[in-house]
Amino acid sequence: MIKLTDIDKTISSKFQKEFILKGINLEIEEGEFVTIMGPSGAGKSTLLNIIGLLDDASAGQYLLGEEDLTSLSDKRKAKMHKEHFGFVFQAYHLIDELTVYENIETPLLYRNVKSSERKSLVAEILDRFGMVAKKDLFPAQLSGGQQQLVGVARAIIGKPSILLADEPTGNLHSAQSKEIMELFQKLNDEGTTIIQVTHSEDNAKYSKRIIELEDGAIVKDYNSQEAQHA
Amino acid sequence: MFKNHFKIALRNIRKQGLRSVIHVIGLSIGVAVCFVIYNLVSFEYSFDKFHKDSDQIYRVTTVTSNGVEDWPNPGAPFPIGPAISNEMSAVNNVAQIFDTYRIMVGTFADEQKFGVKQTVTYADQHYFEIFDYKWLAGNKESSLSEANEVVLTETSVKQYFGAIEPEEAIGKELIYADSIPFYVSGVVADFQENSDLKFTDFLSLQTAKSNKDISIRLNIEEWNSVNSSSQTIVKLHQNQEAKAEKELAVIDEKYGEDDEEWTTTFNLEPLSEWHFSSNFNYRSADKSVLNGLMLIGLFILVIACINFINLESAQARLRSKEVGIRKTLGSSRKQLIIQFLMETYVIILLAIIFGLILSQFGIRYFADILPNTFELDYLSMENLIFLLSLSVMVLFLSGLYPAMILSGYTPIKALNNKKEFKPGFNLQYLIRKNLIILQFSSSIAFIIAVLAINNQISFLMNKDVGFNKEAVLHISTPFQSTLDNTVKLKNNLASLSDVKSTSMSSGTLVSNSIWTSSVEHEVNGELVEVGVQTKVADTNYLALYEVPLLVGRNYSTDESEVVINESALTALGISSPIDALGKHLVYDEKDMTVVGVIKNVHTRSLHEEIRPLLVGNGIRNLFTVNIKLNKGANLASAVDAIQNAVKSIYSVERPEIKFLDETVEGFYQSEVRLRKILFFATIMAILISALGLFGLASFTISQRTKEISIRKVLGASVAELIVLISKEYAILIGIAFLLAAYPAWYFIKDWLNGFQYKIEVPYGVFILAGIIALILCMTIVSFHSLRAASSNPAKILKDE
Ligand SMILES: Nc1ncnc2c1ncn2[C@@H]1O[C@H](COP(=O)(O)OP(=O)(O)OP(=O)(O)O)[C@@H](O)[C@H]1O
Ligand SMILES: [Mg+2]
Repeated sequence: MIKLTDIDKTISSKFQKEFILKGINLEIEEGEFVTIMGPSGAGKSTLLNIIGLLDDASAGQYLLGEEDLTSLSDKRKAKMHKEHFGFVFQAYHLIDELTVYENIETPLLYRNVKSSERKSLVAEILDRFGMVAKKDLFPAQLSGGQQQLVGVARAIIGKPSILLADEPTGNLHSAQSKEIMELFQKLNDEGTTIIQVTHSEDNAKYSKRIIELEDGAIVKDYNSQEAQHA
Repeated sequence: MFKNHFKIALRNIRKQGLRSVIHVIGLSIGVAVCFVIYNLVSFEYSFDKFHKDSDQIYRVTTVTSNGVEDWPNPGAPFPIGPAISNEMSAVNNVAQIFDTYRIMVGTFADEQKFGVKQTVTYADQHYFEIFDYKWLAGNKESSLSEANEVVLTETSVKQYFGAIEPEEAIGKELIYADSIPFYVSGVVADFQENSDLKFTDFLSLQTAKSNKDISIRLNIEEWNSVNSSSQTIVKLHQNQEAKAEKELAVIDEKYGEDDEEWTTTFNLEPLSEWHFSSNFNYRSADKSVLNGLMLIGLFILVIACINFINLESAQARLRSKEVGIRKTLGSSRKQLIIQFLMETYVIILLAIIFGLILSQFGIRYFADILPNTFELDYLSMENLIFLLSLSVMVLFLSGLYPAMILSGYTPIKALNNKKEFKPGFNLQYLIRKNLIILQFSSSIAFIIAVLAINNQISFLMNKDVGFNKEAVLHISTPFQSTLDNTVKLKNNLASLSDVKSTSMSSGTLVSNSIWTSSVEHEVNGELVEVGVQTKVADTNYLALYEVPLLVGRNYSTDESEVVINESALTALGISSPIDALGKHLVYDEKDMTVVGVIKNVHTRSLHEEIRPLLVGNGIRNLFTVNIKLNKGANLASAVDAIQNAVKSIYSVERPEIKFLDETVEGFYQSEVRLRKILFFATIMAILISALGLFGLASFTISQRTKEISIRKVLGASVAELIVLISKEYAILIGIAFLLAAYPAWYFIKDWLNGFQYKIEVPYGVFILAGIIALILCMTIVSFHSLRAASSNPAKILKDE
């Protein structure tokens, strides 16, 4: 489904060119649950952002299915965001001025979903996440775990084919982390492709494939279940 | 989507209270100023727009010129009417009217029953063919065709006969000018729209033609008599203006009585211009004032929009996170721009509501200089359309740039918003500084202009005019007063205890109106003509005004004796005042002898140079009684006593008693009005700019608290920190001052050119304006920087 070929990401300062990602070749199939790991500064977030079209690669080719996403206009990017991607961030990134309900509803607004349908979709997901009672609260009134639940709800309400999560549990304690990870597993079982970045071995266990990044290059790419058996 | 955006807008307005208040106040002032000015301008342009074919209606005006000066007059010689209708094929219809200005109206039993009316005109029946009135009784074809017929409007019918049906008024008798009977032959409805055609009683012009006494006064036969009362109105065939002008020039050529000195030119003045030149309403509007006002309105609005742009673009980073999130959720840049514009629009709508409230205060403040029939109709269609267009204009003017900045953030940069902050060149920062400079230079220029105008006005008010205008009162006798009555009034007043002396004259010594004539004198055996200003008065006149006599003596009751001023010496080519004594002049074909020379005193407003003046004794044109009060006289009781004396002589039309110094101040009405308008504009400009700076400084300084704390830890004192922060703003004011100086200088120079007697361009005022702006700016900036500099560094650095 996702095919990255020879992806580079460089930043150029006055005198030199610095590689953040170098020669990334990566294929991810539909329905996979992939974890990207590696030391801090390895380029994990950068890779995830390139996949999610939040950042542009400096070189290489990016195919999503048949479509070439290598360099898109802002308008096409917005369209891809609507149709394919859902994002979960370490810092939750909820809109502070909107309530829980409104935050979750926002992606539907950009997808021009009718009001009645919006209502039932949001109600359904609030119910599923056990947040019905919190729907009129503002983000600042929620705990971190609750905020991240809202973040995930918002990411998946538009039924994205790919869910991208950058250290989604980085700010949460273990019980909360577990809740989020189980949710991811369930979503994956239902068919959503998930790519997450994490430092936590525990979280990595939920995925079937682990990619290890170091200094902007893939150093390992293996099936985690098999590795455990070995 | 809409709802979602609207909610965010309202929540942001509430959350960022200071920002919202600044925006709403600033923009609402801009809106109020523009709203009032728009209404005033459209009011002034609305006059007599409603007539059928109004673009085909003109009047014939006359310019008399001696090659040096032009004397325009809204009237035309009476015989031009028949000439036009016989000889101009471009003309569809010609009407002639003769405005009586003031005329006594009464009944057969009591000729003065309704007193003096100012809305009575003679008119022929063509007047009603050109201007479409609604006829309630009678008709336009015949109602004015015979002598002694009068057509009344409904208001006049009501005034004279009470509440009767229009038909019942037909045939009723009225007496005009104490003696001439008229019979009501028609009743028309009053105009509801704005109109300068204020007439309520139309007397058939036929009356004047058939009555010898009146026809002489109207100069019906004479081509060389031009009177503003006597107007000729034409309606052209469609698109015949060019042809009409040519044909009129032919008439001018054929009948215009030009001689070597005077030439007369006839012109066509479109109906739409009457309101701005001379009209029957005694109040003509000034297009240059209206244009100036529109410019001021635009300035204030732009200054207000700048506040919005500056504060919003400075604070844009606060909202970058939201932009990033929305982009990851699938928002396009266009959708974000729409969202931010919508938020701006909500603020603009609030500003409009407040603006409308403010405009009510505005028209109260300006009540004395606004036309008195002017009022604000907030919900008229026209105003709603104006407000809608204004709001859209403000939306794009102020909202577009911040919206472009905000929506341009790339998602990852916006989400990790610290990385956005690059050191070095920053275009937005530069734009903001330039806009502040622009705001403050407008404010400074406004301040300079107001102060300079103020200086000139106080110069005008306090300049020594050469005679004593203190404690002088004057009365203009009524139109129909006889000389006997005037003499009686003068004598009665002279006997009052508070009155020092009285004098009858053709006018006050210093006056807005002018009477010029020409005198002849002999140069090398030939008579040469010289134009002079003329005053006729009794022998008390010069003494009453304490006019200093240079040589000779005052004139006596002998009408061949005259006194002249120093300017007249120059005009007559006499080098020394002494030489003027005994000089022979020919005035009005009579021999005159100069018996005295007075110093040059100002008999006109200080806009004008002192002209050659001739004063002598006479009994013609004595319309004014001048009164000098005793030193220390009680003004209130003196005026009371004078009032009683006037009342005992003039029972019906009571003339007003005026103070000369107030009359003189009245000459500078338009300057005082300009000062008032500019003062207001200045306060608004300063207020809005100061508000904007307050908001911006509050934000930018709060962004620097960390830097300030570190410097403090490193040993900087509070004073040093304030200087550090304020320096940058002081530089901005400096640049703003330099930018303001030249346009302000140019404006003042140009304005002062309208005066013969004026101050030098007051450079001190420039410095003062700069200092005012600097103090204002420093106060605002120090307020914030003091707070930042005196906060506890330990706490700030820990929070970071
Ligand atoms: N806009 C940028 N300008 C300069 N350097 C950048 C920029 N973005 C990323 N980098 C650098 O690129 C490298 C990779 O960054 P990235 O955020 O992808 O790392 P990461 O693997 O996600 O690290 P972490 O685990 O700490 O989140 C880092 O050295 C970072 O400093
Ligand atoms: Mg990272």
